[in-house]
Amino acid sequence: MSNKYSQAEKLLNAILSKLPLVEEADLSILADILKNLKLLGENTALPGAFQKQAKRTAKLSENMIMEEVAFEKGINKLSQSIEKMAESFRNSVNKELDTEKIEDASQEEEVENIPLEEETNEKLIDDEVSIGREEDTPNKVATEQTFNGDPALLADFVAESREHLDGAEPLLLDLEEDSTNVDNLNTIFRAFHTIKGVAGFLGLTDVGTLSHSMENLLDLGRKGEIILNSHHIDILLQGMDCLRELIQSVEGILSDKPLMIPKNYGEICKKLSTPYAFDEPVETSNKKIGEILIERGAAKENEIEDAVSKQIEGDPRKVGEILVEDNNINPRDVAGALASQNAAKNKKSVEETIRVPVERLDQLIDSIGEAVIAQSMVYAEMAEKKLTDRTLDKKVSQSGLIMRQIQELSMSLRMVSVKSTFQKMARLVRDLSKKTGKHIDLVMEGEDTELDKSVVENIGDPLVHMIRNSVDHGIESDEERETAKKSARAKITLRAYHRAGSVVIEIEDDGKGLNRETLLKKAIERGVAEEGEQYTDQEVYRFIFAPGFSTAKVVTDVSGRGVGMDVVRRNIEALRGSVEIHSEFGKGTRISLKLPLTLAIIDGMVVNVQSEKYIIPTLSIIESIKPSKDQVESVLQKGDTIKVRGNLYTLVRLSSLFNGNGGSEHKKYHDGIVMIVEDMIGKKAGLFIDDIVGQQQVVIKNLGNGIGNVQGVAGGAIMSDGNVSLIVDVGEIVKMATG
Amino acid sequence: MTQAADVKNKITQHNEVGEKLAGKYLTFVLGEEEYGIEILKVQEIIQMQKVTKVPKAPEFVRGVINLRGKVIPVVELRNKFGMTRQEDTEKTCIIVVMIQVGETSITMGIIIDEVKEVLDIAAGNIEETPSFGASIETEFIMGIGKIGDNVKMLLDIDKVLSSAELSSISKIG
Repeated sequence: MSNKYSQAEKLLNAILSKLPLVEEADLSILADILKNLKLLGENTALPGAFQKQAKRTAKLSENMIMEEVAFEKGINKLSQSIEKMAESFRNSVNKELDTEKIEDASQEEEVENIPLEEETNEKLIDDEVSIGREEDTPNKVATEQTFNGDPALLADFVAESREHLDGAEPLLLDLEEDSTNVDNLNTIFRAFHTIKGVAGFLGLTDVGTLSHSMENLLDLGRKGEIILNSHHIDILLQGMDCLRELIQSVEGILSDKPLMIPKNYGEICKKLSTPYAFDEPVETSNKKIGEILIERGAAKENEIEDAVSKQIEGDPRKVGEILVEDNNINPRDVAGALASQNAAKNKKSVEETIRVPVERLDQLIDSIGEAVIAQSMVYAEMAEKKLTDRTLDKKVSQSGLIMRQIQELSMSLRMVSVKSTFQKMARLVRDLSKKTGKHIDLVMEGEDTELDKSVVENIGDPLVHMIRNSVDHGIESDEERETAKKSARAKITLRAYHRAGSVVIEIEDDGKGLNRETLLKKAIERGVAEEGEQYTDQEVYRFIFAPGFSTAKVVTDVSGRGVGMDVVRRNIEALRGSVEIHSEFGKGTRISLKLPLTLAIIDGMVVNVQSEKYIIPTLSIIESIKPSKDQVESVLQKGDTIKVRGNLYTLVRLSSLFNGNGGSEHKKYHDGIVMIVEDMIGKKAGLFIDDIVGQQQVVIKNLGNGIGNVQGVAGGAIMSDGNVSLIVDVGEIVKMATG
Repeated sequence: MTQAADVKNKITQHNEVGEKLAGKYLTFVLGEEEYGIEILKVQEIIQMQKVTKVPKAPEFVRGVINLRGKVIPVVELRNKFGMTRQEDTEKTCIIVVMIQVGETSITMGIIIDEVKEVLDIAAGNIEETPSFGASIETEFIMGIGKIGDNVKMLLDIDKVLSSAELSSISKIG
């Protein structure tokens, strides 16, 4: 086949052979057809009218995939349209060529194999999927895939899939508690369905197969053929993790990395397709299920009694399960009854959103910041020139007001709720409690609290470590809880709320609490604390943040290496937050993280040091004093200390710290001001500065890629005169000062 | 190799450099000399403004400035080239350039004495950088443009600003 129509012929044949296979539940076949139609539409060898027809048909099938056109209606139209295309194709081709005989079985095979490698590949996979469904054994061999589609499409797919997965996970966890929530089931189902559809379209067969098997299992639950128990949820969650990994690796394709198939891929697919293997019972109270069924007329009284007596005799299954499995009644009825047994969960409203690249958002925020500065410069100039025109003054003030409103609004654009992060913790607690065999409820409060995106992204890790700690060290084993006369189920509360311009995130558990004595002993052992020294409770508790600090006798795979809390401290430091620990021995521990609302703005004290202005974060300033001569003492003529109300602090000159000892004009201490500052873990030092200009909120900017990190400087801020001032990194300064 | 072939070889070589470098250049003055930067690297030219000093930065980094809401570092090109620093005049200005270091592009300012003009330099007017021996570093100079009697050194600004010294800024400690 070498004429100009051979390619089109092949495509058309492929489409015709697939057409009867299209079904609503399997969009990948439709996606296949769509792809071939698109190729037909782009085939310039064909007559223009034919191309147009192909494009129209492609659009139709696309709409069907997107569920914009009802399936039944769409499929009729589609087959009509495709048949028409085939007819007109044959007519026009036959007119032009009478020599070439096209419909030949052997050639058709060639059609399927050689030129459209991708297409064939997909067809094979489709076969595999259907085999998997019938025989429950999808055996996927990991192969390197080449992707030659639109990279932008792929990137979108990755982002969207992640969103779908993130959205589905909490619902799946909810489902564990209420396996009959049809809304949730449907939403999760749709998420996987969409992923599968698009994956099929992009030729990502592994993703397609996995999401397909997950979808199948969910579908069984949806149809009421099985009741999803916690084992099903387990395997679904595993599948989800696997899918996540796969998608991660799909992202790698964009940077030309080979597609890596997770190790447990095959195992998970297998598990997913054998749902009946773990129809193991789960206990929950189900008192009224029988009554509801009788009321509905779905079951007779004696059947219920039978089932209940079986349960009393020691059958560990739920009444509903007994009823279904002994084939007395339809599982759909049981599911329905269970649904009415549970109070209807409030529906989650979906706000309409638009996706915008963060970079563009930051540019907007930068520009608005500049506009505010420009506006205030106008105002300052007016004051300087003593312009007393009242209407002008009014107009300028008015524009200033609007500018600040816009600025506030622009800042709020970056705010996201902590919900998604909290929900990840729900999953973690569930997994950990299974692993450790402890029974733990996670209670979440204030998950709608909003924080800057970058802050939210960075609290994930600390939360994970703190929760691991709580579960492993904080919460006692079941026996211990019993002897301590505590409720059998432990409780971990995750809380977020606003307090005084910052956000507080708290983790509270009702476990055994911190033991002051043990901590202090360990701290002295490790040389973090000194013997004989008096420490407050806060100070003792803070020792847990020291690197390598662990009181755990056994290192488990959950925690105990003493790394976790160090990570927490680093992260919180990086976010310019602070940590407070409250604990009552035997009753529980509460760790509060105080975080800034945004990383972009800080409240700062503007100070003069020689000719430069610096900004010191107000949060870390304890007090400012004008030292008297006898407060300052020199130690070995190398360093100075200052004594404030009995406490001695190392005293450093900000000028010499920043400029070496080149600071020529060595001001006397009593001519300037000493600021006592404190870093996150409570280390203090005195900073000597010339004088204080005032307090101001500033937007933090990094110093540009070209200059990277400068020790002792947290960033730059653009001041109201348009100049740049540097923000002092108190943590590092204290480290530099105290060694 | 015959002499003729040798000469021919030289000519083609020289043309290669010319072909590669021909194009538009922004020329500026630094001390007694004139330099050129590829126009595509130049983002804008701004007036001299107050530069905020950065602690412990190398000598050739004058500090940072505010470029419409972005903070960018500013490099003193005189220091970088080992010339003595001089007081800013009203002709002193900052050329904002976008340089490429590895995969990241960095916006930076360079302080120069005076901006001249944008010149279109043809391939025939560009010569390879002569070697001055080990005492003078020429790695920053891509080639030399001859315009009339004037000689303009064509700078490889990526190399000038991404050299080892600059990366040391981020490691100040």
